[in-house]
Amino acid sequence: MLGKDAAAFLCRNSGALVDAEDPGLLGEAVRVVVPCGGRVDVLHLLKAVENGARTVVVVACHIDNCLSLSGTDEAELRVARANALLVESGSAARCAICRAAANAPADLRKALSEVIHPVGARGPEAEEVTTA
Amino acid sequence: MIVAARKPFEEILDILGDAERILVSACNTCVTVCLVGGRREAALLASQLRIHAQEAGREIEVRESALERHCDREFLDALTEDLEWADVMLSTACGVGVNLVADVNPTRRIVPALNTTFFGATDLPGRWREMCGGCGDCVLHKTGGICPVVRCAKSILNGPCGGCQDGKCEVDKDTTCAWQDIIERLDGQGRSPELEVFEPIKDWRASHAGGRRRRIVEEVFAGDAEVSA
Repeated sequence: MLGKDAAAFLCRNSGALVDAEDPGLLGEAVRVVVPCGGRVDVLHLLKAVENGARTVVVVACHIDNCLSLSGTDEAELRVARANALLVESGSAARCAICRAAANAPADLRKALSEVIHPVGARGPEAEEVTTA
Repeated sequence: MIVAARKPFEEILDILGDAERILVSACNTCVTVCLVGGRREAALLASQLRIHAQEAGREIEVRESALERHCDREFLDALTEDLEWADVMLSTACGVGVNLVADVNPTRRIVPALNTTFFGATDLPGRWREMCGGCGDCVLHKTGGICPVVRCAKSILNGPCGGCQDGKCEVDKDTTCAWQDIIERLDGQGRSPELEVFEPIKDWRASHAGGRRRRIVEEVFAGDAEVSA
């Protein structure tokens, strides 16, 4: 369950559909629906952190299931760069990408549980993400 | 174009020191193409600085600006107001831009965020390779358009050297020997006999070895050539 201090960029072809099906999955996270996960830029991810997000999740399509073909791959590269920049800046790797499909909300639940976990050093409410 | 790479963030922090008002100014020309300059990269760097300050519990202000070119005086007036505000201007232009902005604003602290590396071309998306050394005495007409000054690790003008193994350079086994390329290119053009012509010792005074270079176009130049050297 994500709190108010989380931001979720949702691909309208996957993440947004899953969220509509089961809004509880992303909890109170601030949602931004995007045309494709690949449209989420590194700057969007950093700006989310800069503006207070402790966790930023891009919910994009499964590989080989992306309507834009390479959008989900590009999203993964950008999440990786954003995390590298955050770590370089003295922050934690707060960005993650999760794969989703409209007909499989359980997959997203599992993916979220795998990438989001507490960061003890930053207080009980803080979260850090790991990317596969 | 001019290719550059961003300095490590730690080094940038070290350069900025205790500055509290930081202007991150981008150049929108060459270094934008190689994805270290331009408005977007400046915004990323500015965001990193803000996040770092938040994590460190410091209060800083960071402004962002982007100019079409930092290497042309006519564009620099747009910086005046921000420069008066800033403790330091962190430039994501190449070294040329940093020099000129600092020359035009000698009382202001202008510092580089980039290491300017070479004159190059986009080889593949996300990869640039050096193509020209700016030596001031071009020989490309003799070498099939392949620059031996920068594409040969030894800048040999009568190659190849003994270190060429299976067409690869001894300095980097993943790099094709420039002279292998030159020979194949001239062969392909039916110009092999030209390879027998000895290239005399290069006069490096036309390169940076001869000191700071300048170029004047008389019909345009309005100043005193000696004074503005």
